[in-house]
Amino acid sequence: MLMNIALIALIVLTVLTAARLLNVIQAAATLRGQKAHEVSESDNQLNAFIWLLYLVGLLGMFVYLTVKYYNDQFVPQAASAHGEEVDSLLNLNFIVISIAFVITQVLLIWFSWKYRYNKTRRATHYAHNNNLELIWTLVPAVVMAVLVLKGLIVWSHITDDDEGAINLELYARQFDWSARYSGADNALGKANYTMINNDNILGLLSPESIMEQMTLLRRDSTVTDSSIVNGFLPEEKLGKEKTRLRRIIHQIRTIAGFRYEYETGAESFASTYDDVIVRDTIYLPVNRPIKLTMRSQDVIHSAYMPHFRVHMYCVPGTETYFNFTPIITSEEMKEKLSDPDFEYRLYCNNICGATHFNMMLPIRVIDGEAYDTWAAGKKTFGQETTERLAAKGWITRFANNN
Amino acid sequence: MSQVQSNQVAQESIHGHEHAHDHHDHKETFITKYIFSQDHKMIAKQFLITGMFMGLVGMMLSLFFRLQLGWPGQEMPILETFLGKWAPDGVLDPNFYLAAVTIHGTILIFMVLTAGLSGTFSNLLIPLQLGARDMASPFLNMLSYWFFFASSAVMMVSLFVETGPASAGWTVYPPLSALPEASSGSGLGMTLWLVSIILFIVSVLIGGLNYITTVLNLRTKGMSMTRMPLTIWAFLITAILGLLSFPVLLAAGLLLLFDRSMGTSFYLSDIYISGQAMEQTGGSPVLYQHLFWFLGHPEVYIILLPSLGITSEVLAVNSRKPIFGYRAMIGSMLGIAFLSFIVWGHHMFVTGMDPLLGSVFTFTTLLIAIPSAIKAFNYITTLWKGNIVFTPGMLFAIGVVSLFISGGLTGIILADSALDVNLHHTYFVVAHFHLVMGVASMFGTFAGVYHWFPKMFGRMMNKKLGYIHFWVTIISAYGVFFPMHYMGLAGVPRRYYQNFEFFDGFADLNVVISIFAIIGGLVQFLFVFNFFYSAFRGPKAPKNPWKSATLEWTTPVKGIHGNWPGEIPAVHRWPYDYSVPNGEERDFIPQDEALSEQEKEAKVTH
Ligand code: HEM
Ligand SMILES: [Cu+2]
Ligand SMILES: [Cu+2]
Repeated sequence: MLMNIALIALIVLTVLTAARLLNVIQAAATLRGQKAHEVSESDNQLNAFIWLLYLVGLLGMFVYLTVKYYNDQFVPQAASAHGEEVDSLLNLNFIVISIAFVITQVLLIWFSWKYRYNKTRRATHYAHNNNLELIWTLVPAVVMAVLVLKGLIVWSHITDDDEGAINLELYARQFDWSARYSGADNALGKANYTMINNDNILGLLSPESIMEQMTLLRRDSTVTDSSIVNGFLPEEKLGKEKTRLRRIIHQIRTIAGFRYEYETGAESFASTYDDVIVRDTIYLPVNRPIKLTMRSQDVIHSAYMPHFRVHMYCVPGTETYFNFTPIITSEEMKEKLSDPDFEYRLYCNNICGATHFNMMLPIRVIDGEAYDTWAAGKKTFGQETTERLAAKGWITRFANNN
Repeated sequence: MSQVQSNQVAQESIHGHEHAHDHHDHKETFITKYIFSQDHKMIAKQFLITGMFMGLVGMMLSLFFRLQLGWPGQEMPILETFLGKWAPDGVLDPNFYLAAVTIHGTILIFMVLTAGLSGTFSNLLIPLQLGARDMASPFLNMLSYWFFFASSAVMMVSLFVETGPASAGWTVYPPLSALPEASSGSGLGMTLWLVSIILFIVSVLIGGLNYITTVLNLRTKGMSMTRMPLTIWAFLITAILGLLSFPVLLAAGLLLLFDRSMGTSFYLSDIYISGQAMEQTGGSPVLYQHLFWFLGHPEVYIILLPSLGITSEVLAVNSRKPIFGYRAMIGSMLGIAFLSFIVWGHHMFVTGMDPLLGSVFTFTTLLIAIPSAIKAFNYITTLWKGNIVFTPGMLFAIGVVSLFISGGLTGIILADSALDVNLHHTYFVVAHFHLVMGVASMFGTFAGVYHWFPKMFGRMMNKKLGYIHFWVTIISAYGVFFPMHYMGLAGVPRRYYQNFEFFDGFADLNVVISIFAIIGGLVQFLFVFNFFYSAFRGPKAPKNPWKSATLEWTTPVKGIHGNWPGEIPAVHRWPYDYSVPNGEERDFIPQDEALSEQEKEAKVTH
């Protein structure tokens, strides 16, 4: 407290002293016959000179930073098929804008310096020149046309579908990632957000998971319902419980629809059986095209893999896609960068809450054979569900029901 | 001609009305003069000072998060002094980090560079440079300020709520901004944010209507559209942009409010949060982004164009030359304004939008480069063979051009959908928009303040302090934002509370950036000091300190109600008759000076 008062007093004193000082300085200047609105010869010279320093500094900083940071040590090396194409487009753009940058800054600052005020000269009254203006309309137009064209060609390559791509899902939620492999059928089985529970984070639909979720929700609804009916809840909690009950009923209705589809044979929901969910490290085979499907559980996240030049939002309520082909394995990259700890990474790059910055997963690119072995060793969603239900002793009950 | 005459009649009737007012002028109380003032010059000052206050708040917030980014996790007692529970033991809380970023962006974009800039200079200059007694509706003008004030007040209050201010980024994308469960800032803080922005939109719309009406109807005799200074053209186009785009933000905000409080699902669909599956299905979060950026992109020109207009004026006056390519300047502003409505998708290349649509937005966005290039070249040519006087205003105006170029060029990269994939939401974007929009417009504002300070307060600001302010600010601005491009190219995401060991290579650069930010921040207090000191104690200004040709300098030094004591001057020429080769000593001809015989013979038709 005392500190604060002292601090405030100090600031007030400083301001008062400064004001006093300025008063004196200005009075002295007036005595010397300087006018406050006229810029003196020396001020003009000084500022013109600083402009020159500024130009040198600006261009120097540009060169220094570019040499130091625009290189393989800092810019993630392109490790996907379209990555190299993107990089050469970036380099072309970089060169074009660097040229424009240098030319215009030099002209701007050089003119500012060269035409600094001189009592004996008069400015040239030069209001327009249609030819000049035509030139600097057409030149940028042509340059832009080239850049647009090149850009659109690369864009069309990026967004093209790859034949025979492996289907892989990235699933985001606050604040972690899951990856789902599509298994032997290379098809991602269906999912719905009403199916989500602690053991089924992605809300996958299979006959077993439907029955399990139905059972859990029925139990929840009874608990919630009785806590409402008992009437011991304070007003505020009561509102929350009512919302909760409404939501559970909505969930049960939705899931009943899936169960009906299953029971009538309209849909087997079997495609999820061979799906594999991974939550610690993503493994990818080198040189095989991959089709990413992205989903989110809660808010918008964004799957950003700088090395692969891949970036796509994960939007709740809808699916988004991105195709790419990794072309450099993690081992190769470690050697290239002589960095034994190197990992590819998946970042979240859309603000999603408090620990957004910490939402990250390592990715390992391995050769095709190693990948197949790795994939074969993983437990499928079907196996996981069956085992879990068996552990709870529920499977037999469902079987009896049938 | 007949229209000019009828304008004149309108002017005179206002004039007459003013005389009626004169009788109770001396009864003007403190409240009617300084608080609920309807005089455009006073309202301009109100906008400016409120904007300056908000600017300091926004800047302080950026220093808080720059401290965290420069020295992550280090205990800094000063943070706890300022922020209390949001910086326990002097370490910034991650929630508050995001809140600080959000409020910083919101305040600077809306309160400072939309209201603070347009509100100040449109109000001050439209009547003065066009020869009008006041705005078309002084009352609405006052209302516009008070809505802005209320909006700022609500934003300030939101800083103090228990659960913290809005923290979903200044773009407040739902569902994050719609669900209190998703983030503590999405509770009461977010509601207040929305209320503040809605008040703000009302202010912009009322103000904008007034500016447009005044420009179209209250020009003095002889002031045809093509004799208006480029400042006025810029304010006019800005107001039109605001009028067409802010209502869309209002719609976006209202729908968000409904989703938050009434269970609608405009933006919400299939969300599972806090262990519960919400009922809402069928909405689209991406819809919000379309609506938001339909405002968002024109907004960056709403921020930038007034600065460019001020720059045109200040450059011409202090180069003692006409602005080069007056008509091309108007044309390119109109072109930019039109195009700004069909480029919003460049913020959404990676939202899952159809690739074909991405191509279209790349094309339209790169088109904007052309009028922008014209403007840059015309500015440069204006300096060529000038006789340049380095007033502080002039330094800032040249700074605007330098920053506009540096920041604008990287836009060419971001506009390219194929390249934006890897740069979206990285520090490259932060660098780009700060240079081209943030700092450039800030510089335009400073140029305007230094240049028109004598008009606002009848006194001169201290030049030397102005020089120090300029040089330290521009060096810090480049020191902060230029290196950020390279972090972006290396893939460092923005809105990260701290960076992984993965980005370790940038640890020292982050320190350097933060140091520049602190220096740049502190030197702004020098400006504030200069401003208030000079307003009260600065040397008295002459009537036309910069030897400028425009009408505002024909009014008395001490501003009066109605602006001109006698008749409003008529205009006989365009505003840029500088250094006309007519053998005179004087190197400018005021707009209200009749054509000389010589000129009449030569049929000068500007
Ligand atoms: C003191 C000078 C300034 C500093 C040091 C500064 C620094 C920063 C930084 C580092 C960020 C990015 C934080 C992140 O993404 O994690 C940021 C965001 C932002 N700044 Fe500034 N800034 C300054 C001035 C300005 C000005 C003049 C504007 C006016 C337009 C501005 C507008 C914004 C906006 C709109 C954002 C984005 C906020 C968001 O991500 O939602 N800033 N600022
Ligand atoms: Cu996330
Ligand atoms: Cu934009």
